[in-house]
Amino acid sequence: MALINRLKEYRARIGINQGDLGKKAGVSRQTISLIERGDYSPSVTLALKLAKIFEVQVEDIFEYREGENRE
Amino acid sequence: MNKSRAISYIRLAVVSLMAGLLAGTLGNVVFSGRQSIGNASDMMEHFMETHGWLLMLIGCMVYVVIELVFYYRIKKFIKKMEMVSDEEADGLDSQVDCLQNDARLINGVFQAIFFSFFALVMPGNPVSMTWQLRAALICAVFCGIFSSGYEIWVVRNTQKRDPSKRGNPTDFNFNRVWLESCDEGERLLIYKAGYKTFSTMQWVFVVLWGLTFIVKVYLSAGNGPIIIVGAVWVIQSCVYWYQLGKLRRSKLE
Repeated sequence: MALINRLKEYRARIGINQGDLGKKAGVSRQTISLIERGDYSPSVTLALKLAKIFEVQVEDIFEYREGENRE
Repeated sequence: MNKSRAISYIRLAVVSLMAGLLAGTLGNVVFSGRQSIGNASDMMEHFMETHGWLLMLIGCMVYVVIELVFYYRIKKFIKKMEMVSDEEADGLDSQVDCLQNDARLINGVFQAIFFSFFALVMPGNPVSMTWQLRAALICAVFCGIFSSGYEIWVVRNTQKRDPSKRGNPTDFNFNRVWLESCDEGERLLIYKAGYKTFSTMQWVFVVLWGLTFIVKVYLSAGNGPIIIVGAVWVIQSCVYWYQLGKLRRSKLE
C-alpha cells in the first residue's frame, strides 16, 4: 500500500512541533513521527482529526498512489 | 500443485532433513564427548557453588554502571529538550524513547541472568545456607530491587513526558491500563513486537526441544528439561490461540 502524506509540510505551515500536533489530535508524538516517516498509515478517525486540525480535506494531506509499495 | 507451492514443500523438506542431520551430528558429538562434558559439568557445578557469587557481584556492578550511564544520558537529553527548538526537541524526544527502550532491554536480560545464576549457585540437595549462597542471594535481591526501581522510573519518566499515559507500575493491572492509554500507533508497535516474539519463540521451542532431547538421550539428564520446555510450549500456544479466538469474537477497536 502506498500512502503518501504531506503532514510534515502542513505542520510546518502552522508552526507546531510533533508533540503539540499529537496533543491536538489526541495521540503521541511517536505516532505523528511514524506517520510523517511513512512507517504507519493512520486510522480513518485519526486522518479525519488531522485534516480538521489543518482545516483541509483528508486528500490534501494523504494521497493513495496505486502501484507504489511503501509497506 | 503450482510451482511456488512445490518449491516451498521442497524447501521445508530440505530444512527438516538438514536440521535432523545437524541434531544427529550434535548428538554423536555429545555422545562421544560425554565423559568430558560430564566432567566439565561437574567442575562448573562446583565452580558455581563456590565462585558463582563472585560472578554475580561483578555482573551486578557492570549492570548498575550500564543502567546509570543510560539514566544520566536520558536525563541529559530531557534537560537539553527544554533549551532547543521545537523541531530539535522532537528528535531528542525520539532519542529518549530509544534510550529508554535499550535500558529496559538490558534490564530484562540482566534480570533473567541473575535469576539463572542464583539457581546455579544454589547447591543440590540438601540445601545448606553457605556464605556463598548468602552473598549470591544478596546480589539477586539487590538486582531485583534495582531493576524494579529502574522500570518504575522509566514508566514515571514516560508519564511525565506524556501525561496521557496511565497506570501504576506497582499495580497488577498495570499492563492493561498502560495499553488502554496508548494510541493506535503505539498499540500497533506493541502488537507487532508481541507477534514477532510469538513467532520467534515457536522456533526457539523447536531448537530447545531438540537440545533437551539430545541432553536426555546422550547425557542421561532425565525428563525434567523436556517436561519444562514442553509445558512452556503448550502454555504459549494455548494462550496465543485462545486470545486470538477471544479477539475474533469481540469487537476490535
